[in-house]
Amino acid sequence: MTTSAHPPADAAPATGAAANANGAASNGALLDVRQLVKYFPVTRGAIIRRRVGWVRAVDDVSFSISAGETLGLVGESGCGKTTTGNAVMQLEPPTSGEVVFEGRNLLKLDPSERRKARRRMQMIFQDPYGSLNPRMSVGKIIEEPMYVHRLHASRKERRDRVRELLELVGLSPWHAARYPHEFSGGQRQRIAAARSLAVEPSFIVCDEPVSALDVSIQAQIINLLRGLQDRLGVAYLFIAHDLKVVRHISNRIAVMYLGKIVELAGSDGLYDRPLHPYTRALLSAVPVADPEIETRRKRIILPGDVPSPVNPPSACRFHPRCPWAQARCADEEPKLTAVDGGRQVACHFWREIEDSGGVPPVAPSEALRAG
Amino acid sequence: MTSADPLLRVNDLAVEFQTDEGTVHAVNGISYEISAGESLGIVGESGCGKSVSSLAIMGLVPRPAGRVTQGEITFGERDLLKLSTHEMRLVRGQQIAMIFQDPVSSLNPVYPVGRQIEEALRLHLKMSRPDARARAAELLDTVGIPAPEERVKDYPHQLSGGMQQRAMIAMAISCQPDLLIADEPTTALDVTIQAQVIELLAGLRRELGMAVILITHELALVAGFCDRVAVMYAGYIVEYAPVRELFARPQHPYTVGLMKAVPTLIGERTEQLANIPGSPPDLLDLPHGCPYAPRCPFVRDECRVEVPDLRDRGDGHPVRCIVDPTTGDLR
Repeated sequence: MTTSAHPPADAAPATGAAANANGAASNGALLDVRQLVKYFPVTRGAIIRRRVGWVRAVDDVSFSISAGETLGLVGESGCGKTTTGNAVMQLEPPTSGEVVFEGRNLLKLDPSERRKARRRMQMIFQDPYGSLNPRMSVGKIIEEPMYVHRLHASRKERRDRVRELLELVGLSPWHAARYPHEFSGGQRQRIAAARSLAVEPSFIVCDEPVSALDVSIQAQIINLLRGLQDRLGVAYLFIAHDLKVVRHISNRIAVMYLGKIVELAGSDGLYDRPLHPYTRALLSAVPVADPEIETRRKRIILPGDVPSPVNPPSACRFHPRCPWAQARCADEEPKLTAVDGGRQVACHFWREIEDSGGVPPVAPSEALRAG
Repeated sequence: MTSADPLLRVNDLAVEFQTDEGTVHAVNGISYEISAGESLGIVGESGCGKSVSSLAIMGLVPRPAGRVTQGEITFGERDLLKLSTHEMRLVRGQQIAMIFQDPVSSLNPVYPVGRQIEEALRLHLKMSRPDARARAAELLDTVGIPAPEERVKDYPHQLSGGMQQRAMIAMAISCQPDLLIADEPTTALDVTIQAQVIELLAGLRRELGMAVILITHELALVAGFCDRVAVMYAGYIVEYAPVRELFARPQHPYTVGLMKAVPTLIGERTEQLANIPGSPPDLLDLPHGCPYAPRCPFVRDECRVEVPDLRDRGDGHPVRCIVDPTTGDLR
């Protein structure tokens, strides 16, 4: 994994950029998400329900993932990262856009075709307590997807495969007879991983797979997911709010804010040289386990809270909180455009901000009061 | 650990819970102290006893299941464990205040936030209603809530998570306590909001000169905020050191493992995270000897016999371990 999982940013597939620029099909990408939109209706009235607005959870999001690659998707609560994952998986039908997986647009397939295509894409959820059926034994839980997709003809074959999978994720074959409540949170995430691998997927959406776990257990699961990728070549869309974890596991990272991708770059590039003001603020907010660095660090404190996705701010959605915002930011939406090194950023002034050294014109104490 | 006149001194504190399955040994004899204006970090994973020990300071260990079985908690001149319920109520809020992880369940949903702050002011400081009302708005302003005169009338659900936590902080500092206990104050918040709240707490600590105990599972959070750190595991303090010393020279195998289990944000990317095998021990049935022994890479036979003492070897950095994790040899 040392080399294969972490190609330099420049070597990261440029398919995402290509697809955005001209909307054309890109070759080589395992998953290609184009102009994905997911709105939820806001309704009022108990008897006669009428729609009074839309929650713009995901608004024109495009990215691609190559075979065996990990794309990290980060952002704070309500930024639309989980909805993006669900829409890619077709758990919630997207409002518009395309999700091209292994060459086929999932939105255009009929239900039985879609089900077949979905065998190759699986999901691991955040909550290891809610995502496993408490009435089924672990063996049954892992066997069920094979049964649904008619993967192994005989029961014996399926049982053998269950044992194999349990060992693959670091559990023992005899765990198959046990029930979820007998396992700790970390072990349950191992079971969830085994279940997702049962149908030999090429792509797994990991939605905050370690955020419910203690630090020492997090490391176990992260190491497991990376090991599985090494051995099986599966690609991940890794959704998380923990920027340290995302940096560790991802080849490339997309940063979301209020339903939009504001920056997409190779993992090292993003952390060494964040370009978007939101990425800068996000990274500066994460505490570092080194008192020497912490005392010297300049934090960018953002004023106020994330606005509601029902009435997002005009043009650049970040402009009301952005320390560098100018008049243009409220009038003209910055497009996600390719800049050097195959990375993309959606900001009118990223170059000026970088040239000025990235120090915000507002002091932290002022920002704190400006909410 | 020997400053002349600490504000708070916890000595050999133990807390147990009686459950249907048996006795949970949540806190097993911990000692620390904190001076006026100082900031102490208590770090550990879930179930390590970090929250329960602070509840004991506040006299809030849930009864009858929970019980402080031994120790003293000296605050100023008095042992808090010997105070009557009434006396304890006067200490709580006025001299020691606490904020919790989940501001939603700490605020009363049926009263406006302003009124909840007024209540503390009227009870402890005997303020008149109009004075308390004006002061409540001032306090909301102090914690950076915009348009405070309007916000005092808001109910908790009308505020965002970050604003709720700020309202909690306003309530906590309303009587200018000498000590603020912050139990995972930012865990439920997004990282940019966490930065706001930590910045706020650091500023208030400077301005009001209050001591702060920051309880968290995140080592990195104490790095920038605290003067000293206690690392807890299975109800024991396993390591206790000034913050720079702890991060420069972690001495307990658990602390070392914890630091290597977290990926880095800046600098070289960690290639492989340290695996701490297994899970924390069952507090109903602690293993013999050192509770970390079953997971420890440096474990020796002696470790399984008795719990090592928290020993200061003259460097002001006591450690509860007989092995030096840098060499793997006995100390």
